[in-house]
Amino acid sequence: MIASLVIVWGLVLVLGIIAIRRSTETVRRALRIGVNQGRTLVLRMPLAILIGAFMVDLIPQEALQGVIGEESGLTGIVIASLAGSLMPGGPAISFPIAVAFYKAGVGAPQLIALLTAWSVYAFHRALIFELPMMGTRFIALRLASSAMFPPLAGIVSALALRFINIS
Amino acid sequence: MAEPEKPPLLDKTTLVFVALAASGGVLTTWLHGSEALVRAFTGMTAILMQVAPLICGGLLIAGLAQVLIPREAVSRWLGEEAGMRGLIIAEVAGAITPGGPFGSFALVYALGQVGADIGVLIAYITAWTTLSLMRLVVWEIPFLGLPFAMFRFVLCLPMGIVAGLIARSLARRWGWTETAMIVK
Repeated sequence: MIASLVIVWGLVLVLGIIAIRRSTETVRRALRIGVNQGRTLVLRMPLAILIGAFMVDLIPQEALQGVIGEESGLTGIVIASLAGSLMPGGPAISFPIAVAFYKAGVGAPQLIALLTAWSVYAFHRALIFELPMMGTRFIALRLASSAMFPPLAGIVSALALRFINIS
Repeated sequence: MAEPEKPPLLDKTTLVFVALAASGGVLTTWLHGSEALVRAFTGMTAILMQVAPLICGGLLIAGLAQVLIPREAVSRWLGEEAGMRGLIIAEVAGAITPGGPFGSFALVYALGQVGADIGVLIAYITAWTTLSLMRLVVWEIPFLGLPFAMFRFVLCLPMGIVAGLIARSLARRWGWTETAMIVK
């Protein structure tokens, strides 16, 4: 927690100094972008955290742990990869929900597979942005080139987490 | 760079959030009683207190990065390099590109039209989706913690380059010899 704060605010300081040396107008523009983005979060973030809490309350914990819990192994990783690919929406909703699930006992390798699938496959993004903008050949090539990443990420982390503690 | 419009406090997406939270709250109260509702709100407050200072910093970084990293520079690096060097540059560029899908896909589309290497473009998009430093700072570190975020980041490091290499060989095998045949 302290380390995160130091890193994040240290980065703010470094980038802020670079921007201020360029011009005060640069800083003002950066602030405006940050504040505008923050405005949308003021309501969404508490709501998203609540949604995560309610989802965990409504899905029986044993069922969740059985399907994508620590002990669910490879099957859990595959299921998490599929679930992640279907998860709609941006990070403002996905991360609060992910953290609620993590606390409810979803395994770390399964959660990593889920988040990787959400970012790599992202069917909602593919449908809304990629298909109309880039066409079917690009999507086919991109998915074929990265299809194995989410389950692979889950498997590699299951092996690595025997030796590393990230909780 | 165009100035973003001031977003309204209550837009469609937020209304969907409101609807989901409200129905979740009603269902939870109905099934588990009002203690569950109180517990959810207490939990929310605790999480908010924890993530707010990090997210505020993250938003400032996002804003600063967007004015400091000009899209034209990214576009120039990606358009001119191929080979392994091109893939590595794509990986870094993808990780530092801020902003949503519209900007990144528009960039890749434009580069595809002028014939940039398809491996580089796929590597860039894959790195942008898996590594996104902006998402790491604004969302992942606050919500999942530094060790988890760093672990996932390191795990995803090779993905852009590997995807780029696979895309090159697949495109050759499928007979898509020109980038313009793929991005159109």
